[in-house]
Amino acid sequence: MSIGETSGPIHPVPTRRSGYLYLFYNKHHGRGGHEAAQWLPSLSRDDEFAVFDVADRDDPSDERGWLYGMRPRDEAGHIPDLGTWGQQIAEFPLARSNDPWHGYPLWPLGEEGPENRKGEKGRPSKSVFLRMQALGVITHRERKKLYKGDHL
Amino acid sequence: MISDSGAESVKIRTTCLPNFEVSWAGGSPGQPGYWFGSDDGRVQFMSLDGAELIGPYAIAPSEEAVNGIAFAGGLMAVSTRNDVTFLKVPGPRGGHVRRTVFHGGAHGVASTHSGSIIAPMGRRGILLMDPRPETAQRVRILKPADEALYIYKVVSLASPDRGTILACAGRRGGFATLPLAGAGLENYGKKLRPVGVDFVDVAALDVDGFPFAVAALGLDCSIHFVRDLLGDQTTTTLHLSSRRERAYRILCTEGHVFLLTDKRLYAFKDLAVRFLRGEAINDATAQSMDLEAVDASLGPDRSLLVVMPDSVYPLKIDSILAGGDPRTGPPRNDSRTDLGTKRLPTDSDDGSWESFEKTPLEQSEELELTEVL
Repeated sequence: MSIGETSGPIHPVPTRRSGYLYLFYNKHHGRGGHEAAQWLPSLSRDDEFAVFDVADRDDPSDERGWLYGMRPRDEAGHIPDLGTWGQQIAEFPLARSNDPWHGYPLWPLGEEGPENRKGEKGRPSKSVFLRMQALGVITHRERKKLYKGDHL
Repeated sequence: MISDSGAESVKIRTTCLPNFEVSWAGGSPGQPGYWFGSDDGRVQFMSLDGAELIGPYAIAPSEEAVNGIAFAGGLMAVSTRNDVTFLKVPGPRGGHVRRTVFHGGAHGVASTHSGSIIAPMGRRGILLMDPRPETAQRVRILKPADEALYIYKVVSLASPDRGTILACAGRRGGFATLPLAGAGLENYGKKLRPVGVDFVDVAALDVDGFPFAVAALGLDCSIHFVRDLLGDQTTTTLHLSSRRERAYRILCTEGHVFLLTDKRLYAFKDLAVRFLRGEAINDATAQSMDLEAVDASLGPDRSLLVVMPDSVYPLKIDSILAGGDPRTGPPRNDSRTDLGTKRLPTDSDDGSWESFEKTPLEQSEELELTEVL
């Protein structure tokens, strides 16, 4: 997905593992209208990039190569929200070679209508949650809740 | 004020189904027993004594985890994060199960008093399937007038003379009511949006004489009571002040209130009745049980069904309230947990409601379901 270089600022530092550049896409920072998922305004750019950096490091990816990430747990052990609608998972679509990556808070439900959804699974696929559990990012109980579209 | 009593260990009967990872459990409206949903979109029935099994049947085309099962007439609805499937309630003989599917995810599914099926679909709104004698073919989507609402849970409230309304937990968008049908519904619904509250569940108080009494649950474990959603502008809020816990589920039955968090199950004896009597509830006392559960629902035979990562606990309501041994029969497997009594810090306040200025029904769309062979 090419999103152009004028659609938001780019983080000054690439990811540690793969050297990916990351773009803070304006569409998901208050300029995308009601339909676009929005990062929490209280989440700093560094914190948003950190979610992507860890996702690149741990590689919880689906069959398309898209990456998924969460914020680190707070002092109470809870996974904090990262989206304005209570989303706790961010999705990073596979970027074309030499393009910066971008991401957004992921809706927990599949939302398209019947004509577009035949046979399509939810996002992220269950294999991503299994990978997160194997990495110790989430527990067995939390994986089961995410399978259902529940909050943690 | 918090005062902990000494916790004691108790045994809990657990239920496990072979080759079936339970994601959801609930009671059966027909034959006494349990319906279970699995992590891969199947459903299975088990009688109360475990002797009779029906299924498992592969229901959800997406093979995603079942997050709700509801019944209306002879129909069954099964929801996942990716689809909602409608079918005639399967029987013990098995065979081909004809299904129709809405290819959009829901956070659960419920039935209304008039026999419709409703499903909360997040920012998309509410799926509504009107009762039909045959297999469902069409559904309506009710879009809330307020786009800030993310419909996370929904419950139906009704009385014969005042109509039917839906009460919705709308996450940070608030706690909302939407009129559905009836003579007493002159307005377009209303919304309560206390600052900082993330509404994650809602339940009817289920006490005779109070058909529009509800409790809405905040992620911060605040419980927001309303005596009459159609007539009251006042909300009484119970703050558990539990920064260390996150609320998952609220269940109300027989005048009691049960709260499931990420760490415990709380049982507030007679709390709903006391609230409806007009008594102060800021001295609420709860039994609490340490549980790291996935979900909970009301079960058959006066029980709660608590879904654990690897099993299901059927817990007798009387045993939970008494703080005694909740075993309901010969245990198949034993687990141990702590049961203690806690007096929880609470206070009350009043909330103010905003009225919607247009009807959500004007924005509804009707969609054809897809038949699955």
